[in-house]
Amino acid sequence: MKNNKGITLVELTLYIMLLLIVIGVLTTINNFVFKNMNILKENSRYAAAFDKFNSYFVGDVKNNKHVVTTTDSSNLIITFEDGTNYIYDSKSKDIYRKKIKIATNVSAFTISKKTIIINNIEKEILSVNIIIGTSSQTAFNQNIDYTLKYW
Amino acid sequence: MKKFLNNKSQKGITGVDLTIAIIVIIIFTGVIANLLYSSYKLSLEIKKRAVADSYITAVLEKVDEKSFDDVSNSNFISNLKDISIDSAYTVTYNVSDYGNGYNINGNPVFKKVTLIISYDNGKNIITVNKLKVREVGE
Repeated sequence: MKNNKGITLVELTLYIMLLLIVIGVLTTINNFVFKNMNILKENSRYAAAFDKFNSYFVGDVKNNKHVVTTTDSSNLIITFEDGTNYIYDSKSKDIYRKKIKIATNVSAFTISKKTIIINNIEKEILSVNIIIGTSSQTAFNQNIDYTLKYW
Repeated sequence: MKKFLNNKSQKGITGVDLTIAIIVIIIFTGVIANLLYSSYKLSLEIKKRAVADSYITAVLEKVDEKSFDDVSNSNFISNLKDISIDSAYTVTYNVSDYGNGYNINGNPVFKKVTLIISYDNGKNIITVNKLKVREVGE
């Protein structure tokens, strides 16, 4: 306890310089991480939302031969022949299946329907364009032509 | 009170104390950085997998859209041109007979489509099989 040895001014300066360097590196890492954290969160959230929508939609497409699409003020409504419906609310940017929200942050959802006849077999094709997210860096944009049940 | 306001204390921090503190900070930073990197990698993998799933859906929907005869090794690839697939993904497929040669009036009835999607320079490979059936009247 009687030891009065401390640190010299040179040592202190060196330590402070070292600490400043460490703090600088930490700040840089911190800024980088937090800047990218939102991108990461959005990436996985949008991908999961698309997967969820796609898995439900493929199932319904393969269970139904016909579909009706209608629009009202801000909603796009897709109704399959078994009564299953999808509603895209362009105001809230959500997609609902049977009134249950299955996708959020859907910035665009368009659908077009066509009927083709191949070797005497009539097939209904639903062309879907879905964009989940707004930033071009993270948005999930897919075009898929779904073929309804034809057998 | 006097005890807590002892300004004449000669106790300070030594070089060893500081070194230990810095080492602890560096270890802590390393652990945090590692966790964040893992999170970043996982998030990216989720996105890549979702994109791969969308390509699988798009291609398999084309299998349903095309006629039984159009789904073959020789001409199916040209029909896939309307699906835009990122260059980071490689899509290959193989159409083979299925059903041990079962046929109606000499026409095969079943085909097996094997779709292989690889990404991350071939580190991740997804293989999906789908059966194509000749419809009555086709």
